Amino acid sequence: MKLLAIAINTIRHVVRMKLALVFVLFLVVVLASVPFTLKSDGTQKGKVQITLAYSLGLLNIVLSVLTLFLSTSTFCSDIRNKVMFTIDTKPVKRWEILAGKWLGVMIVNTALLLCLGGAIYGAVMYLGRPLEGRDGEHPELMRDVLTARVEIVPAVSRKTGRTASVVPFRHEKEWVFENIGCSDSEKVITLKFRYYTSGSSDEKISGLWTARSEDRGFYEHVTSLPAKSFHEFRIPASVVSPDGRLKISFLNVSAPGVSVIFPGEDVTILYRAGNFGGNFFRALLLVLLRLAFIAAVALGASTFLTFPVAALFSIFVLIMSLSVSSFSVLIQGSPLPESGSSRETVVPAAALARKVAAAALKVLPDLRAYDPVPYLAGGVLIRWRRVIEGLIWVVLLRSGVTGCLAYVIFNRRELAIMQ
Amino acid sequence: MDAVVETIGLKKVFRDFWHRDKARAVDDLNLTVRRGEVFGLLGPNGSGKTTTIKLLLGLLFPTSGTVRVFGLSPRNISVKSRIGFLPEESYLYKYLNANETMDFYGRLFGLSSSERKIRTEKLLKMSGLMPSRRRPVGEYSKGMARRIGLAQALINDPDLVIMDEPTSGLDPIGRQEVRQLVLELKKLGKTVLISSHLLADVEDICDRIAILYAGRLIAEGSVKELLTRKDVTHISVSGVPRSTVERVVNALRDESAKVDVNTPMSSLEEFFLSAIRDLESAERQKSPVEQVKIASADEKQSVIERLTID
Ligand SMILES: Nc1ncnc2c1ncn2[C@@H]1O[C@H](COP(=O)(O)OP(=O)(O)O)[C@@H](O)[C@H]1O
Ligand SMILES: [Mg+2]
Repeated sequence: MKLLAIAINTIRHVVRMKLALVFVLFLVVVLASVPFTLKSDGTQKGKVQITLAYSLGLLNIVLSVLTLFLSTSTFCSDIRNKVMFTIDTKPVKRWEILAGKWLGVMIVNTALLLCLGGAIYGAVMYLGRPLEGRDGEHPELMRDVLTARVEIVPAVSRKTGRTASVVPFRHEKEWVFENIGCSDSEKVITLKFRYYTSGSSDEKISGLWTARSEDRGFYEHVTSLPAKSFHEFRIPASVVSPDGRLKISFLNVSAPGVSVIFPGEDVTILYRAGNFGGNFFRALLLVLLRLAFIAAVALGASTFLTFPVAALFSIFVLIMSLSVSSFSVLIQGSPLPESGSSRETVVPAAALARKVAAAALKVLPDLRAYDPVPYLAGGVLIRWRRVIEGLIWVVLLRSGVTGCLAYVIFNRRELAIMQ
Repeated sequence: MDAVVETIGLKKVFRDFWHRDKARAVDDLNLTVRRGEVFGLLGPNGSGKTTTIKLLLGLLFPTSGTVRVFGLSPRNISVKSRIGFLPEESYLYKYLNANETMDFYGRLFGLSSSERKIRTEKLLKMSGLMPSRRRPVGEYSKGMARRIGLAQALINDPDLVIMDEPTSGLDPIGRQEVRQLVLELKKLGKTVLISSHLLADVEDICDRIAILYAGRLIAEGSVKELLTRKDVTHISVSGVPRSTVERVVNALRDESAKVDVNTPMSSLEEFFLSAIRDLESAERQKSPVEQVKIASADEKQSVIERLTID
């Protein structure tokens, strides 16, 4: 209850100091102008897709910055104005102060996220309504964007990793898909693929696709499509075996001498596994997980730094957390320095630096992995499992450890000494 | 177990970032505040009163020595629930009004909502803030800010009330009201620790006082004990020409008495200043090692002597 009192007071602080107002106004203005300013390919699907990606991405960024700013300012101003003196002389434990602040910030976040997220949802629904005279476009939109699809990669490639395969003329390549869990009510599944060619790139490639499973017959489909970009076609769901297996094969029938190249995991199967509303809700939850982490970091920084420094520190952590995946690639993928006279001295240092960097990256959460934008823009299902993983790894573990550290620092701090 | 507050060899040295000593704010302080008494912590500005109070509240940690409040560490939650604290300045949320302020701090004490309501009403009435209870406390005047500070300090019906310079900056009526409040708290059996750089503000309400100078205790005892010297008599005269005074003085000198003639000064602050000048000039003649020791009997006397003249 003491914790709640501090949380409620934090909300009052945010509301009365009009801290959030500026951000929200900015966001509302920018979001409202998104559908009019962004260039899309002219189709309804393109428009909805780009609006969704852009506005959700913007919401994610603005709320991140707001959280960072709110958390540091509410905590640091209490210390600077010495209100913390008064609070600390009351029978409140210091962890209650920290947790109360965090809770208050998260309540504000949740409220803002629901309002603004709701507004985005409404706008997308409006843009995605059946348009008169253009009803041909609507089913595609509903099928590809305003949905929640599961994407399955071939079972073999999951074991062998990303391997490219070359299919010469008159040759065939086969992929096996497992665990296709599409429900009986779904009539079709989608095959999505991309290939490259040894021939000239604007030439169309012809191929015969066959989808079959042991006991459910087969389905054939001929395509004649250009290389390099993604294509999709639909397969009746009835060919999938009851245990969710399906074999897909591609026969190269383009022209003698022309080979088709399939890089890595560019052949996948998509099927509907949920509705857009539920998926959108889970997308907002992913945003909330990120905000929970940022709030914890910002409050933690505020326990030993003053306002602008604490904010800068948190921005640094945020940027690093967003770059974890790219940094990991850099660290593991960069070649060792060329041999030379200075080799002996440089290499151990570089190796050490690499180890330190790799360890540092393990400490930070990979926030990109929980970015909801690619999911929603591609109509890809965000599983509850993903949300729960985020809850465990980002919130319970990273934010929890941050919170404990913050408590230890705060508890040892002499509040009457200004830093 | 009659000691409500007890410090033993308490020392606080402020250090800078590089751990170099910046200021020795409290030095080897031994204090005991007993249950039910009004205890005055006196000393000029910068003598370490606020630092001592912060140490008693757990806002600062001692460099060495111990602090016990109700026999426990001041950071203990059960200790905090029995303390009411009025800070030097208003350290309250500026955007909350008086009602909300009282409610917030009441919640931090875990009081039920009905209890909070009753106490808020009572305390705001007592402090005369009822008419402005819906205004943000950031807009309050200094006097009003002190009142809301006092009201929030009493929301938990504390056993020990600690007030840091409650009278400073107030007009005579305000000061009188604070004194009245302290006497009422004493009547209710509370222990009150009050700091001030003005002896006149607190001398008639304190049962015992301690005088701090440069972080050291230079005198402790009841006001009477400290302020009366049996062999000294003060004669106050007014409306008498200078020549008459001179005649009286000469008559006294004939009796081979030691006579000091001085005109009463306007404020005790000035007495402190001159007392400290004396102390410092005495210290300058001593080695630095001796400086840390408790002031000699003579020095004590000189400070106390100045305090008596009012
Ligand atoms: N946070 C601090 N950092 C450094 N020195 C301080 C700090 N607080 C107080 N001091 C020093 O400690 C001494 C005592 O200060 P204080 O306790 O505020 O005196 P008082 O309340 O009696 O006026 C002063 O010399 C002051 O400069
Ligand atoms: Mg002071």
